[in-house]
Amino acid sequence: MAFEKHAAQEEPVSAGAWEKKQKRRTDMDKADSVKRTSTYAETDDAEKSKPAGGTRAGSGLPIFLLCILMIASGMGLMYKDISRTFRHGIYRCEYGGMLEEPREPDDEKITMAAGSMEALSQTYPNLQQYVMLVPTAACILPDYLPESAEIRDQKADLANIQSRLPGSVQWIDLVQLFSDHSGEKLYYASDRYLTGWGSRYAARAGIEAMGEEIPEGKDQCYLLSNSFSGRFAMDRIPSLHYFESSGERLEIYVPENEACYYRVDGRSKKWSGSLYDADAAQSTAAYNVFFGGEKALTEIHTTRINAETLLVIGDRTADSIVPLFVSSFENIVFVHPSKTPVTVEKLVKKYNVTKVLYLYGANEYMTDRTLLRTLQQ
Amino acid sequence: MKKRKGKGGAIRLFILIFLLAAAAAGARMAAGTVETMAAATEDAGQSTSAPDAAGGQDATAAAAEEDSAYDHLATELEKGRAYLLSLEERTPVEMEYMIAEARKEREKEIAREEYSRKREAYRNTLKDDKLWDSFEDYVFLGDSRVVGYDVFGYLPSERVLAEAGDTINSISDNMDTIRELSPKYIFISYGINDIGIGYWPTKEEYAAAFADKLHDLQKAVPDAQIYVNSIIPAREDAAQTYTIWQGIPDYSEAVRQMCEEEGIPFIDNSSILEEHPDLYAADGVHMQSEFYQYWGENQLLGVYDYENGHLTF
Repeated sequence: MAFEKHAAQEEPVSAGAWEKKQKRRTDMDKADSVKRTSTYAETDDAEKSKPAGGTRAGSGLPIFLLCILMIASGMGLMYKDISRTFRHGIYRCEYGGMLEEPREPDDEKITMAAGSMEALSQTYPNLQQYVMLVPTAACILPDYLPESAEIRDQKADLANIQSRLPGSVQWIDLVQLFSDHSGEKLYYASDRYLTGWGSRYAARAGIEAMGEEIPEGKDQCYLLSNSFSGRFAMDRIPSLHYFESSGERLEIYVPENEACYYRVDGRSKKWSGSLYDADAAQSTAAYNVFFGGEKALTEIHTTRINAETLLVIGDRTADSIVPLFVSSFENIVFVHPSKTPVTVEKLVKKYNVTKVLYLYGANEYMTDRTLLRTLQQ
Repeated sequence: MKKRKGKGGAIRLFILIFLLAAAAAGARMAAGTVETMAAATEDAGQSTSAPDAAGGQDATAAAAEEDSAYDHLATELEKGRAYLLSLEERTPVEMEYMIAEARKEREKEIAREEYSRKREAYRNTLKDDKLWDSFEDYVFLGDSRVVGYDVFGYLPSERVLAEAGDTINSISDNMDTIRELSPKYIFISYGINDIGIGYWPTKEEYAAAFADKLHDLQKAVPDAQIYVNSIIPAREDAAQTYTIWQGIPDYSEAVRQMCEEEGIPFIDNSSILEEHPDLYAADGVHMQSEFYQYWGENQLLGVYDYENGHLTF
């Protein structure tokens, strides 16, 4: 077929030229045929003779040795990687957990954020603002770090941030609270986020500081996944997946008398009676169980009628904490500044916001500048 | 022979890689199994037992324990998923209705809180002597307990139509005086003698007879607003001595129901004795002077509640 197509594409030529061309083609075909026959003959001869210690056996040995060398090198690299305690800003600890290195604060950003908060307070004197930063696990659990680790004093950094906040903004301290409960499972071993239990502590501290009521009664614990593998685990070299089991329990705590609620996605306007995505719980990105992943803006309306509208400006650390606010506020507006250019001022006006909570993981707050855009007036 | 040896190298290499992969997979499976089992046993509230510690245990028991731990874990996961799915089943109509209802309930609560503040402000105007000055155009009907308003000097005797031993039958006896006074408010408190004497052996009979008397009274003074008091119980020791008084709470409840049916305001005094149980007189039936401050206040609060639409039967 390929030949036919080729022949059909040829331009018309004279009879003499055509004959010459045909002859040349026939000669080429013959030569090709002879070459093929010769190759087959050689192969047959080789099959028949099969001499011991011939050239073909000799060519296999270097390949074999090369492979062995490659495997040995691979194993060597793997060993080197296993024995490495620090990689991409993450410390690998003896007990198997991974702790993120506290980041250096961006002083300019922190100063500007504090200034913008102050300006917002002046524009809206009745608006109450709160800052709650979740310290990194390394800050709370320094004893678990490898001996060689030298990290920043994040407690001092957080105290510095607190001291720079204007008087109109209230600081909600989690360092002391988490230090008091450091023996409990507050953080995932494979991620920077808080566990269900850690989120519960943070949410309660936030609700109390904001002067709202903590739901009465016991909290019900639901196990959503027992194979949660966080972002730090993703950073391991693939071969390590064979040797390190990465399953963690992903749980949520729900107050016994939780208020009823629904949420509306700010962009798609999609309605949902749940703050969770059941399918995500079983996926490799199980943390997406909260809100189905990072959403630009989420409105939550509840049966807790108290004329309080809380605006939460936060990062993904906030995803697991915000669901615990539904029994304490009538309306909650949850915004990820990294996903939307909307400003706090616009949101305060639009939703008649009474309280604003800046809820970040400490490391993210130290460096993330998207908050500044959100705070612009 | 030459060719075979060449193939053999590749096969060995393949086998080596296969063995390495198998070893790695085996190590991973072993690690995963141990960890999952550890988590599962921990979940089940059992101690994580190392192989050495479990060595002495019966193999069958260990296997059963393992199965149980897995079952527990599976149940937990199923429960968690069921919860999430139940949330996803909510409908907008259902949720909006619930929020609207909660809003209505909250509005009522706010109204109640507001009324409570106003009531408290009114109560503060009834302190000390102002309390008794606030009684205007009224009559008290009752038994020896009501006599205390007069005896302790809180209210004038012409407005306290009460005698020791009186029962609801005394209402008819006082009818002419009541007509003459033509009060705006009539406060009634009987019961201790009615029950003690045993004229009305059942609470239903008593409530029916009481209702008849109230009808007659209302006919006589149609412009008056009648307020019926709950029957104040006898102290426990007195009720132990004279056991028929143990039935006072039941009779009082029957009176409350009758008032509800008749649309007559009912003043519940039970909270006074709950807060001041030491205000009984020595006999455990009558009251000390101080009690009348609270009782009198409760009458006026009853009027305030009724006139503001907040009196519950």
